Amino acid sequence: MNITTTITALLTLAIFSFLYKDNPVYKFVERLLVGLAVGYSLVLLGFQALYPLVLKPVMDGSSYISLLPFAGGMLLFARFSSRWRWLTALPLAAMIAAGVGTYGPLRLRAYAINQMTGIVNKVQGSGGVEMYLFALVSLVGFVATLSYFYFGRKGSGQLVNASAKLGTYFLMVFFGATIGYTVMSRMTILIGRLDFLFRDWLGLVG
Amino acid sequence: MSEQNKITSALRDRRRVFLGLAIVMVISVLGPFKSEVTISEPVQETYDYIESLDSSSVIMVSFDFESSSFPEMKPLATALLEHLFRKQVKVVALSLFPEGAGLAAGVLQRSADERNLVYGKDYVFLGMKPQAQAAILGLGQSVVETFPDDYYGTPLAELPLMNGVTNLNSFDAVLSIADGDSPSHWVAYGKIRYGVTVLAAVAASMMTSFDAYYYGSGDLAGLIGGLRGAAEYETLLGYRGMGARSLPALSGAHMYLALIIIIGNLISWRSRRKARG
Repeated sequence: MNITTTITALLTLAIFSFLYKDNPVYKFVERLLVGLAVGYSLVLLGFQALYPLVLKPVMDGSSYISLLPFAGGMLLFARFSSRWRWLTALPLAAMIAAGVGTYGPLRLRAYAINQMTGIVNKVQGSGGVEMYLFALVSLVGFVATLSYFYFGRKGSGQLVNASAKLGTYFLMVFFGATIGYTVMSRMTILIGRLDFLFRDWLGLVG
Repeated sequence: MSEQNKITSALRDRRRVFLGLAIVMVISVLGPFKSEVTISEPVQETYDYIESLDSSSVIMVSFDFESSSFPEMKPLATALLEHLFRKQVKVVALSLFPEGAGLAAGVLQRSADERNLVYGKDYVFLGMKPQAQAAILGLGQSVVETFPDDYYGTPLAELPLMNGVTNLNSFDAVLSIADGDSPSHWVAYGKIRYGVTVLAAVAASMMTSFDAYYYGSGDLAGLIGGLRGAAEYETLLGYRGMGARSLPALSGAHMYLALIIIIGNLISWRSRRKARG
């Protein structure tokens, strides 16, 4: 049982103490965590991004082009001044334009087109009944969920309303599965800490 | 007080629910329980893909997680690195999150030290770059321009492993070990833009976002999810790590929570029925 492990274990127990009720020890450790995370991130961003990509090329005279995006980034801080706040719009406009132009087509393919073609390819590839069933359920789920979000208004007609109602069931299944997986994730984190306490700290588990 | 009211008031104090969970978990962690593991198709495909690589292969491993999910990510990262290093695959690692960089450095070094691997020759840690999209697109053009130096400040030109590496296409695949949606960035900007194969190991909470969508569409060549996925992978590798060790506790916790949900719903149903008369 070394000193680092003991300190880590005591900090873990301090965080767990919140489960009983809020207390000063928990508050201290919570702030310690936030402070450490922010400090660590800032230092790392400085050494891993700001220095090698901006300062170093300028200091050794190899490139000055990085000063342009750096200056644009600095303009974002203009929002703290009521006089110069309007300058923030310039880098924001550039970021949005570059973001939409660069990422838009790629994301459309990743998030929509590839998933639709993936289903068709699977059905064509296997030709099995279960794949046709999978494709049918996917198609019905897609249309029903979409109609819930876009067409499920009063006076939309019985068919659309029925489809929207069906969409809510598909959503419920999705949310149920997501929450189930999320619970699994959170329990895993708890198990990880217990494993640390019993194995690494107390040595109760071999 | 009726039996139902007693249960209701007991459940209303969340500390009792937590205490019950703690008891179940402690018994499961300390007890001699074992869970049987069946291998799912996405995990098998990930294993098969890495199994098909050899000592001439270079893979990029992106540690896209933060400290809050480390207990879930560590078993996944350890099992995958064990397989890669066992196959003598060269690993070039990075992180898209500041906290992930520090955690990745530790996991990578421990796994490499177990096999006496040489830094710079068998594996390299590039460090961290913020803004995932820009970092991935930058890597697609040039690794050395995106990461002029490695995590420890060594210029990439001085690392023998990086000699043949120019951009994302120099890698056999990218493996994203993530607690969030980073694999979707790797698919959009790595696979679709530059054609690199992408594998993912994600937190269980992200499985619904990746299983049907990205793995189902074929954008991900392999997918492992959560502690359960880690346990499956450890079984394929033939050892019992934290994934397999923790499965009984996970099952115990799930059963306890399912029981609480059932009791809560029964109470709610009975109360509504009573109110209706």
